[in-house]
Amino acid sequence: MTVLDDEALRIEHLSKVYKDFWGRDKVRALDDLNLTIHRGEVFGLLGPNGSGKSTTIKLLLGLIFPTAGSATILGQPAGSTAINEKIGFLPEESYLYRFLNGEETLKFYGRLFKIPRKELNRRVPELLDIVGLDQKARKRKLREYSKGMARRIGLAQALINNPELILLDEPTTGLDPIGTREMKDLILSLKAQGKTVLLCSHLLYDVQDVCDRITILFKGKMQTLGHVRDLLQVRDITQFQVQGLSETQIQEMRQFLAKMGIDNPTVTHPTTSLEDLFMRVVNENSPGGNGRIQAGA
Amino acid sequence: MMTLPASMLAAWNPVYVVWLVSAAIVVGGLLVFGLDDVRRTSITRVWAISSVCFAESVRRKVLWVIPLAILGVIAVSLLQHSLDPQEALRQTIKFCLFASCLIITLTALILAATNLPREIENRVIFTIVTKPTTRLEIILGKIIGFARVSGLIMVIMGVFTFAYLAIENRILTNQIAERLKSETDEPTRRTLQAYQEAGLLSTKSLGNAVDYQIFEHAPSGKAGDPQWLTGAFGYSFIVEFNLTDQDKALIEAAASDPARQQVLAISTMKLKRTSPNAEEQKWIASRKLPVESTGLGPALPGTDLTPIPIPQLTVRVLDENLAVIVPDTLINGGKLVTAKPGIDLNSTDPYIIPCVLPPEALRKIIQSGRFFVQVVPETNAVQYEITPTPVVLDIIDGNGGEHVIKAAGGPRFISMANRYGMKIVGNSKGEGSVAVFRFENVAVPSNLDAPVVFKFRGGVERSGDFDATKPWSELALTVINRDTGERSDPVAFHPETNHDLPVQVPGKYVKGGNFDAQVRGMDDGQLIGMSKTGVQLISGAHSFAFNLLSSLIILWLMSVLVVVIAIFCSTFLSWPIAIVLTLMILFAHWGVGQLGDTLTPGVGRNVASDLGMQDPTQLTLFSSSVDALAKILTTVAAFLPDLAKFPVMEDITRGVAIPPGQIFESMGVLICYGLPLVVISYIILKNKEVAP
Repeated sequence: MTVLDDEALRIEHLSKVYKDFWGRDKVRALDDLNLTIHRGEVFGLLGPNGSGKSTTIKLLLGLIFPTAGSATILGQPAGSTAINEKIGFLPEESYLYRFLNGEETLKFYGRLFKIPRKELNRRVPELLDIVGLDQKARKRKLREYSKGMARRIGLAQALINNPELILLDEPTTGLDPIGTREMKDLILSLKAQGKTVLLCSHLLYDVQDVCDRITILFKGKMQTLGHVRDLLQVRDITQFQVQGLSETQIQEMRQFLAKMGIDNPTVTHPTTSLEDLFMRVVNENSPGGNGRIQAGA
Repeated sequence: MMTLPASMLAAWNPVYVVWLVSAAIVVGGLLVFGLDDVRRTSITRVWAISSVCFAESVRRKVLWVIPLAILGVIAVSLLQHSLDPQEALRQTIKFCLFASCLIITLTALILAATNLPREIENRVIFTIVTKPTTRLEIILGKIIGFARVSGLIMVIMGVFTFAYLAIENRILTNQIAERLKSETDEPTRRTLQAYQEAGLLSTKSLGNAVDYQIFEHAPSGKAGDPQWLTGAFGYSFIVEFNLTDQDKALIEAAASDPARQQVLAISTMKLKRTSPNAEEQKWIASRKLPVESTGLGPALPGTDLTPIPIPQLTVRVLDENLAVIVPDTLINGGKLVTAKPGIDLNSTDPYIIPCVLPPEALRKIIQSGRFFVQVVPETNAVQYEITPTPVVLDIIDGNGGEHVIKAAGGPRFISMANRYGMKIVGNSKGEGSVAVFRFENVAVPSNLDAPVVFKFRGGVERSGDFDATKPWSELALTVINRDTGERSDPVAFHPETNHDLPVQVPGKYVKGGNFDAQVRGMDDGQLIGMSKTGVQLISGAHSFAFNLLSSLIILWLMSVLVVVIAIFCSTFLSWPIAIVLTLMILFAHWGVGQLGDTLTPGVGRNVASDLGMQDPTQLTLFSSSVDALAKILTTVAAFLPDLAKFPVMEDITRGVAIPPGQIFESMGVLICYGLPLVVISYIILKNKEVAP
């Protein structure tokens, strides 16, 4: 495998300047972005609102055109129709035809990929199962969907073509904690299947849980780039986690550390995340105890 | 600045230019921008997009307009009160087709113009363009989708129209049978019987005249025989001129040097001048016509010294639609063209009556290249002889040399028109004016041993001289076969105003399809107005259902054009503006046609004078600006689609079979304008950032 074969996405000096009616520069939304994402990687694009995350995604998909620079996806120019065969895209809100039902929606998008009818009839229910839309929900018009259900059908349409690269713009927006967890599990399962995921979010915990590498954009510029664990590591603090220590043993540990010249070490009990707590409570109280609640039920 | 030669401009027929531009846009646009996308175009994707558009329209309850339209048609047709059963049925056809036309085109317009802007605004387009869908497929899919919606509405309205008309036909046919039992008025009886025999929904194919002229006196038929026209009786003639490049150059030279050179329209004609009778004298006095005395001093006993009028003419310059090209005010200084006074009344020499054409008029005729000169005899008590070459253009150069431009053909005789068309005057001795319809190579019925049927339609007016005791007006139709020279006996018939009347003539007179049909009025005080389709030969009968289908297909083709234009506009405009622009594109050609004479050259001067402008600089500036605006308007309109090429109601509501060629002509317009607009829409959308 060559270096290029390993690259799912390469962005070089990509810039986008929005202009006003008279052609004068109005906003520099993205400024000289350089980035490479490898195949099989889950990559997080972080930043506050207006930092250039969505602009980057739109540029990669050909929804808007770059002022300067270029991008290639799986070795082909970004925005070309041909490369869209291998891409799945979940927009930040589910921009779908609200007069179609769930099944019709997926069949429509499947036909845009020229997926044979037989294959489509197999894949549509499978995808609806994966995203957790039940039988009733599949027959309802999208206008009747809750926000969470709309995200799920949006995700299903992004996966209809079994894409190699999936671009997810704020994938957990509108999802409840269970949906959020399922989404994160799904992203990890996609990674396990060898797919590349570009995740764009400002919900930092979500990104932290699933991403291999991240970059943070601010005012259109890349501020930092690297592996999540490297970036989050506090190098001058060492933490031990031990289960079942008594108060006496803790005192002995303190004395031992004092002898080593370490005064006033912080000794606390770790807390779980709110998400973990929520999941545990729901799991314990659900029939069967698997914590999975079907959307639309 | 480089300019194209006038001859080249004149040769540019807008139709050819439109086809040329259309082909250039399609080929050039796709070669430069979209060869790759054309190769990638997939029917599956196009059909999928079209199906979504179709489903959207259906699920958004767009089809609810159909029952509303049907209810409207039923209500309006029940409220109409036409005594004539065929007229009643045709009115219903008109209502049905009008309603269909309205809902199909309006639905197509609103759906197509709003769809793309809405999808961009609510960002549904994000999930379409990020799939392997080309922008060309998106445009094509949407057009096909909305064409399917129009098609569905058309089918439903078509089935309703057919069923509703079948019911109404049955009811009216029964009413005719009832009325015939008691009807005593002979013309009405005949009309009802004709309806009963032919059926109210009968559809005929008709042979049309290629030429239609009104002669004051029946033409002798011999080539070269002159026609005599009486002054101020509303008769006139036109002659056609086609200028060559040499003619234009000479006229241009004369227009550039008006002090030394002159161009005259010279009418050469013998004149019979008689002493006006009392009534004519009254007319002459009221019109303040110039007169001259025929003798000097006191009159000898028995000598008539009534001043007799000096012959005058009106000369006009018209285009092929007989619209004025040169304003009357520019011709001969805005005055009537007058023969030289003092010519011996007994002279048999032709009079030469010159009319001066000033430089402004000359430039307009150079620009036109092909034009018609109309000469109207204006003077009472004068007979004007019109020879085969009555008018020439004479260019007199600075050295006294002359260049004569002859007309392209002989004179065509016309008369004053009323709302039904040009008028003939009836005469109980059969000496009134004659309408001659010239048929060339028309299709004739296969069985010529049986009588053939002509359809007459016109308007009959009666003056005080009409014999009020006569229950009907009588006309006579004579058919002369130009191939065999055979002439039928006059067939008398009694028409009702604006009603079709069948007139039977032995078949042998139309054999070969080259014949003249002459119509005369046979009553004094009778004025009959007829258009070019006043007399038509019924050459065959057709199914009404097939005719309705043809009409609906033309309507559907028009709706597809509406969809294409609306989608084109919506690629770069918000939907309300897209709707307005679509309507402007659709109606500009028709609208400018309606303005007609208002936009002829010289309109600026007329408007300026109406506004009372006195200052010459202001006047010139204003009038030239208005002229330029009018020119731009007419030029732009000439290159926009002509809705008259989609005659949905015209033929079917007259019971005439829509020729298959008409569908192809409508299709031609759709292709000619539709394909380039599809390509332009695709190019715009391809280069458009769809993320707002």
